[in-house]
Amino acid sequence: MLTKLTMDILLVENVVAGYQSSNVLQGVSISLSEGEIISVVGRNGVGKTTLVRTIMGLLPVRSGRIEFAGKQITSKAADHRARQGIGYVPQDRGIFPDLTVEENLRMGRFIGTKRNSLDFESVFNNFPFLKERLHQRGGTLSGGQQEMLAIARALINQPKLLLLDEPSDGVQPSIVEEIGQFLLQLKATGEVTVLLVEQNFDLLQTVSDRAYAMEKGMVADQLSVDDLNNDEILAAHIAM
Amino acid sequence: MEIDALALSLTYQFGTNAAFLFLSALGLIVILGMMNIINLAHGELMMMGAYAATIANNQFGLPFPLAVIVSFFAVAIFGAILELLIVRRFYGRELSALVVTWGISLILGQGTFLVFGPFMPAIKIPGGSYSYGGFSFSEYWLVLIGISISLVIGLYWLYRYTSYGLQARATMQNAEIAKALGVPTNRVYTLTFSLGAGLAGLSGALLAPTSTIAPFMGQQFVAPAFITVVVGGATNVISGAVGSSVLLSAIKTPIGMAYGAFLGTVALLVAALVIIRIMPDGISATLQKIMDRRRARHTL
Ligand SMILES: Nc1ncnc2c1ncn2[C@@H]1O[C@H](COP(=O)(O)OP(=O)(O)OP(=O)(O)O)[C@@H](O)[C@H]1O
Ligand SMILES: [Mg+2]
Repeated sequence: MLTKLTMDILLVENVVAGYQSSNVLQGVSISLSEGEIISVVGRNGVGKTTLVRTIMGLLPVRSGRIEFAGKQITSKAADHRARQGIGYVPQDRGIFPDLTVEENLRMGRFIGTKRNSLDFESVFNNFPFLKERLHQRGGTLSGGQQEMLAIARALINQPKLLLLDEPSDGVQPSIVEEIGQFLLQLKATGEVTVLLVEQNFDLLQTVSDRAYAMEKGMVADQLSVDDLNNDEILAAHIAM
Repeated sequence: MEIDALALSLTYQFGTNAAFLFLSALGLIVILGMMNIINLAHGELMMMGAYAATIANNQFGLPFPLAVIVSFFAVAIFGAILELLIVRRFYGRELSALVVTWGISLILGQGTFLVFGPFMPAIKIPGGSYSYGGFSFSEYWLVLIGISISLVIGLYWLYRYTSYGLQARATMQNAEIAKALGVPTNRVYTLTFSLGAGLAGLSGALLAPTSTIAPFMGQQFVAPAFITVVVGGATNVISGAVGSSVLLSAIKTPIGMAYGAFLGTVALLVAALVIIRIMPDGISATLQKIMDRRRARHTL
């Protein structure tokens, strides 16, 4: 067997977590190597968002452990994890409606350990529409625009890991494609590892290096690029 | 000549009424707008500010301006302790927070009564007064108007241009996302409650010379404070406090001057009811809608 050259940036081991009423995750294990785009697929309600929120620290781990960049973060608060370098784009995008676009971008500054002066230029290169809307309130943007703003915000201070929860949800196809192209460029830089939760075939097939398929709060299967590119296999893990 | 003096006096009265409403409401609106907590201990925090200023001024011989600054910090520190020990347990439970701050207000009022007795020696109103065309103008109220304007500018700067300001506004809108983006939201809450308390203390100290200093003096500020806050709304703390105190004063002042203070206050209450009816989310929400529409037109 070949020795692994890259290190695990994120390690989730036998994690049990959920809500007051019940556990949703029933012992999930995944690992992400540096620079990869790893996807999580599964039907509605299997616990994909719960997994992302647990990794972010918004839901407590009831058993199991999470390691990030070689450090145990299992019981750290969400703000601590963010400052370690985890960028998060929630399924509902989490744009602050009454902050301007610029202020929303500035909110990405507290992610990661460094407090760099923010690189607005590269944001405008990737998402030019943001430049004209800088002084508009975030809440006045369309769904797709909010998605791109949330991605730009999470990346503006160079996190090590990006958690992306269903970026295609409620977003028009042309923008989903744009996001796919952007993620490919991002992967080419090799600087950010991405955990992508998705159900959109095109996006999954465009960007994923491999995927975990979830079922009933567990990882049921691992999918290679070939599996992902096979519509039937993918459909078996996603469609109702 | 007559008209000159009348206009000047009207302007002065308008400024005085607006400054009184603004100062009364300031700490309350910061805590409500940024933390969604209706702080029923607001009047008692103002009372504490007045006491701190009186003690610093009378007992320790500090000049009044310094005593006012001391009051701000004293009540701000007290607010931080209150937040850390009690208030933080009630976030997201608005009714419980209401009851708890009411309890705090009772303890503070009665506690002050037990420790300091029914009243304190008054603070003399600093400065003299001018008279012009049969009207008199107090220097001290002119200073209070100036301080109110400076506070508006200072708070605008704080919330618009500092890192704390951005974090606080983000936390107010979506605490979970702010936390997930690296904001230590607990610290933001402590700072905000402390700031709101400190501002109540500052206002109490500033208004102390114009009032009797007693354990339950806070009550006289509570009604105007709540009216100003409700009319202003919590969409934007600063535009709410300014818009509401200016508008209410613009109604109260001329009627008060023509028909006496009592009818002026009645007019203020009626105006508040009408405004809340027209703008249920307050002046600040209406202002924001107008701004949005203008911006949208610019980008299209
Ligand atoms: N706040 C909550 N409280 C209680 N149960 C919840 C909560 N949020 C989600 N659940 C439940 O947890 C389970 C997993 O939900 P989750 O949101 O993780 O699914 P998902 O895979 O992200 O679904 P989708 O594809 O629809 O986004 C579901 O049965 C859901 O009803
Ligand atoms: Mg989900």
